[in-house]
Amino acid sequence: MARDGGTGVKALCWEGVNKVAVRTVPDPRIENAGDAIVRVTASSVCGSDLHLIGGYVPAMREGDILGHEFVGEVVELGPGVRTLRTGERVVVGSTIGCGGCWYCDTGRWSLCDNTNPNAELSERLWGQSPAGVFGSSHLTGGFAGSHAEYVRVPFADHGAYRVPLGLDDDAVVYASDAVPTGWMAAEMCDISDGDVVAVWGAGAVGQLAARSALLLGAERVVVIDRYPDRLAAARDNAGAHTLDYRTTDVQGALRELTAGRGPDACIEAVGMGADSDGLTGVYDRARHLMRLRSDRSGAVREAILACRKGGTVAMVGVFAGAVDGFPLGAVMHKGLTLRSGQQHSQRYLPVALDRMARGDIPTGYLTTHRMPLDEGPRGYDLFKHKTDGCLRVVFHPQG
Amino acid sequence: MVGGVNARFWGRVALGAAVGAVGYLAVRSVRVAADGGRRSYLGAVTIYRPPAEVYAFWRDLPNLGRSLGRVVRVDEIDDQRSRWVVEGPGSSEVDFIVELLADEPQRLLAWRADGAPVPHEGRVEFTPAPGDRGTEVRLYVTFTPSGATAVGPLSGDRVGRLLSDALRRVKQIIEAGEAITAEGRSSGRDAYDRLPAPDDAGSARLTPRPDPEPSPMPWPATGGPA
Ligand SMILES: NC(=O)c1ccc[n+]([C@@H]2O[C@H](COP(=O)([O-])OP(=O)(O)OC[C@H]3O[C@@H](n4cnc5c(N)ncnc54)[C@H](O)[C@@H]3O)[C@@H](O)[C@H]2O)c1
Ligand SMILES: [Zn+2]
Ligand SMILES: [Zn+2]
Repeated sequence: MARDGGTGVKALCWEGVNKVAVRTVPDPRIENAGDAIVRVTASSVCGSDLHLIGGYVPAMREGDILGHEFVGEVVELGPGVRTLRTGERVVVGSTIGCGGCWYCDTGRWSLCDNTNPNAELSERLWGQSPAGVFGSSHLTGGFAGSHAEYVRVPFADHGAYRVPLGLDDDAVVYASDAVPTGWMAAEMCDISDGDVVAVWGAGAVGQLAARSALLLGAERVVVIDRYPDRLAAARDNAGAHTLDYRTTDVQGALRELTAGRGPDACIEAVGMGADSDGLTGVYDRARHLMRLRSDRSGAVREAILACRKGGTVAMVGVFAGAVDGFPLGAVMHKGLTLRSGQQHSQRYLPVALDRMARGDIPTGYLTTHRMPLDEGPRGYDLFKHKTDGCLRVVFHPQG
Repeated sequence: MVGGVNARFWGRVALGAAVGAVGYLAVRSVRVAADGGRRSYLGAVTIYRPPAEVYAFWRDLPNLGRSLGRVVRVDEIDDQRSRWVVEGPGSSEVDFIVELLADEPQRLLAWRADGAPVPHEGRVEFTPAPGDRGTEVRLYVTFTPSGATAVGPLSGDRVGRLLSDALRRVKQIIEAGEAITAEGRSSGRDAYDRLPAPDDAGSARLTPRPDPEPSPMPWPATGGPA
């Protein structure tokens, strides 16, 4: 709890594949002039953490502190910070932007040139390096995450936003990552009058993408998942139609719903852990049994097959490496547009806060579980298996 | 000069030298030639500022030195010559003279550092980037034959890496005002309560999913830079 004197702070650390633990780690310090130290009051789990915890993302190191979606109080500022004061309650975007490069200046903050100290590593894997991210792999900087009593926030002038009155921690925490991601996914769909949008995944990201698509003018939104409680939540809170892919032929149902056209836009909000059934699923599993490893991409395939000719597939689910069985032929012959990316916190966070404050985007319902940091391992177990109706777990590191 | 000096020493000196030489910029340095002991490197990077500003940053050698780290100080002797003091092994310092061979405002700087522990010559070119993308900076460094022995303990990759790191740093300082550090981040690797016992109470292994999970990726799960 104490920061002075180096007695350490509590943090939830990754300790190997499917293993997390609460540890007492050294206090975060101001390292750069633009840094702030934030006392974390709420920090959410995210589907991205499951990819990290499961060992599907390279360059995780034992001891890395997880968490990238958080709210807290500013307790210390570097000498270069101009817009924040200590004592302010802020919500911080999950991606870190410098504010001065071409990408930041043109609104594509998650592609920032200057916030990944390990840029060389990701250049080897991807050709160029994206921005730094809190609580993620060393490919994106290995920054300590927010599942901790305190966290260092680099370039705080650009990443930390004052919380409007009237939004409580368990609701506003999603302005950090999930709401901006959902909004960006919907924006990528270039929605016009009469558009039908299908969303794979009814996690927080899928729910918020569905809600955003309606706000941006979609005629109808369909959310696809296998968990009845999540599908019910999407109907009740996001105003979506739903399909359970365990009991429904999704391709057939979408064709029927759109009278054969297919959805005008498809959003993939599942990522690497996607379930896949049938032949391609067998193929995926066989390959990994044979140690021919690749990311599982079942929902991406479904979205591409379902999408109408000339439509858009927006992929916000996270992938790290290569995929097999990618239906490139369908992309080509249907003239599809594929869009993707990590969300641009600094661009979408203000929009998110505004919409949330007006009540357009409800988020309180996403927090099905709240618990102290000590219960982190249990929290991730619930979230991973979607048991006990778990949609999101929010940790309260201050107890 | 070479005998008995360890590789780390040469790593440092080469960095300082390259740095001194370099005006820099390049996100990637590529080894372009290796013949007769001469080794050449090219680094290129785009900086989102006009050529006048990028050139001015470079030309202000004491400022350039301060931005690079590991350079203790740069003293300008006259218009052409400057003395670079760089960190050596332990708390020692090494200094050498850098001589400007060409100085074309907003376009080019070229220099030579014959007396440096790692003798080399270099050139940095500034070109307006297309559209509004700022300035393209290309850095060429050649370690001269007598220096080849000195560079010996350094692999070509390592030199390229040092140069590209330095270029990246300059880009970050010009664009963002500071180079973000990965140092000092807190993690469970330094946990005060980290016990070797695998079954200690604070730790829990998540139960596997009922359906088979994909194995971890073919790259090592660990292995990011420290
Ligand atoms: N692009 C970004 O900036 C960004 C930001 C946050 C999260 N994400 C990513 O978004 C994805 C979702 O995050 P979340 O927090 O909602 O995760 P989550 O784990 O809560 O939800 C994922 C949902 O996908 C469902 N699903 C699995 N396979 C499916 C399939 N074949 N078809 C349909 N649904 C399927 C699961 O049942 C689950 O409900 C993750 O990949 C995460 O990494 C991206
Ligand atoms: Zn996230
Ligand atoms: Zn930037």
